[in-house]
Amino acid sequence: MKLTALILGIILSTLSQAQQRIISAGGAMTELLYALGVGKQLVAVDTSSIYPESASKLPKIGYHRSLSLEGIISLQPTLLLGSAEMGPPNVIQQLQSLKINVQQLPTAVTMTALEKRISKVAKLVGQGSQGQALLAAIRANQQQLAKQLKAVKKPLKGVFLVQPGGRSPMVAGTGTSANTLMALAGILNPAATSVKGYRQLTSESLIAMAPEVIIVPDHMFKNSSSLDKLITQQPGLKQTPAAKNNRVITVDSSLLVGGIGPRIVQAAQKLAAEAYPELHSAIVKVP
Amino acid sequence: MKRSQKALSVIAVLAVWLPICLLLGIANGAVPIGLADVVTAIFNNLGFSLTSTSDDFSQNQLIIESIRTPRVLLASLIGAALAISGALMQGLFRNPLADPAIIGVSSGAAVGAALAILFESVWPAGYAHWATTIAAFLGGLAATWLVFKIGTSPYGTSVATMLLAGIAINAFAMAGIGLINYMADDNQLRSIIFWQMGSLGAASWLNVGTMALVVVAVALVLPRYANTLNALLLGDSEARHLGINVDKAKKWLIIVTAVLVGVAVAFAGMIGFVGLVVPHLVRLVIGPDHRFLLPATALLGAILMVLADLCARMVISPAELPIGIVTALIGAPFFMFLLLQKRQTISG
Repeated sequence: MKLTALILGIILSTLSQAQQRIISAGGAMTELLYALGVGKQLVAVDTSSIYPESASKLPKIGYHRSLSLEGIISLQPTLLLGSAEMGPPNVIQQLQSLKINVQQLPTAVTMTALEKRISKVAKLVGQGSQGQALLAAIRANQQQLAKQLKAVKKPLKGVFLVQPGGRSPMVAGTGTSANTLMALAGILNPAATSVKGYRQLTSESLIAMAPEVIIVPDHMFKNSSSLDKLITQQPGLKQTPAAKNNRVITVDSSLLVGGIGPRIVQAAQKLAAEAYPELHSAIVKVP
Repeated sequence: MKRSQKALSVIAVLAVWLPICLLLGIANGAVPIGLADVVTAIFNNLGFSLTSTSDDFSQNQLIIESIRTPRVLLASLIGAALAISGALMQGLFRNPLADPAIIGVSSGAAVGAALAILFESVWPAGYAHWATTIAAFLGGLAATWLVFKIGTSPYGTSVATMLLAGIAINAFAMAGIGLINYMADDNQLRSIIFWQMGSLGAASWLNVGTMALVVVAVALVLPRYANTLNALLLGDSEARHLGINVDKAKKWLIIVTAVLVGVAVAFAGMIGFVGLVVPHLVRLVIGPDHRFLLPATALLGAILMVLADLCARMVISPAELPIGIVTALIGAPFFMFLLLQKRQTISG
């Protein structure tokens, strides 16, 4: 009798595990959930979840700081995963009072934060071992990349630019996903010493930074003419070594929205391979 | 006599429609709830204890009790508050283009809220949204006080000077918001922008209660000012000849407006258009007599806001639209249509 009860209990608990209905608020979080193999349990995502493709087909709960209480309830989630900025606060409180497990995790822009996030999320969705495997793979790739980058004699100086609405570009400083990506790829970010977050810089300070490479997110520069425009129409940018040698690299912008996700090291490998062509053959071998 | 009868019947019709719209707002939302459950839940809360056969009744009851009802009530109170303040401003400034924004209350509140969001890490965790609400209210009052002080001289309060002061304060506030936007990080910036679009998502019984207190207090005081507003329509000196203390009346009307709009904006962000348009609509139908204009405006404002919020909640469910966008998107074309229809009547 006891045994059947026990077996029944195990079956029920695995069933309930399998029937998690998860809502993810944040592109990097959604990506992580897919990497942990629980993509099928997602019932909705926020507007920034554009990767992988199947995530973009799920219902959208809107922007993560202005969540709709009833909209979320109507999807009957068991778990809501989002950033620390998720809100408004009374909506979060009400969701919790309805026995929905709401977890707010800090947005990861550094590798340490990403590792913490991965193990926490893996535990929350019952994929602890999958999480450990993912972490090990990320660390191995990161170490391998760092080793390969030791062959670089003189690291490049680079700036990461975004250009909202065709206006003067903003440069990524400390505390941004882009800064972490550049660090992983062995590119020095001169803006990191003076800029926090994304800021518009004067042309003169761009010249003073003398970047040898310019990195831009691909969604803003789908065609080369918009890239040319960025460089030729910005008085300061034109004077930089990067523009003179026409060294511009695009990166997948879905990687950097809402913090970094599990694909960050692959992205860094790709960026490093383009920034240091001499290492290209060595780096590209990595899966 | 005929006109006042028409006005009274319009008020009666609106008074019947308001509860119907409230019910409509409570019965609809992202979670489908059957009408039987809705009625049962409402009766339960009124003190009758009915039981329901429905399986997820307890969840439905919770949704109706703690999500929809406070939200719908908050919408109606804010709609009424904004519409009344629009009517007051249009009467006071003798200008149909006046709305509460003219005395700086909205832009002042926006500066307050933006500042609170920029410095949100300063507040203890969990109190950031209260800080935003309070800062918005104080910002609105401060801006209005400044406008009023500039407009008031030993010779009395000049609405023309106040109008110009309002323009100056609005411009200054916009610059302040621009500066705060520039200093804000990505997340704060988005919060500020969303706040400015307005939302009733933060509705709770606490802010419904506060808002109700303010609106009821105003509703008790305002009838006394209906005749004053009528007299002010004739001009300041004419109103004085009728025995009205014009400066005192102006001061009170501005205080009432600042508090009404200040609280509304603090709870729901910026919701434009209602204050400007609802008094117009009512005036087109029942004329400019404030004794009827004020109650009818309050009712229509409440009805429109409840319906606009229903749209905001339903159109892109499970997400929701900012309410300020809905009021302008629906209201502006309707208003234009009405103007085209009534063109002759207005100019003639």
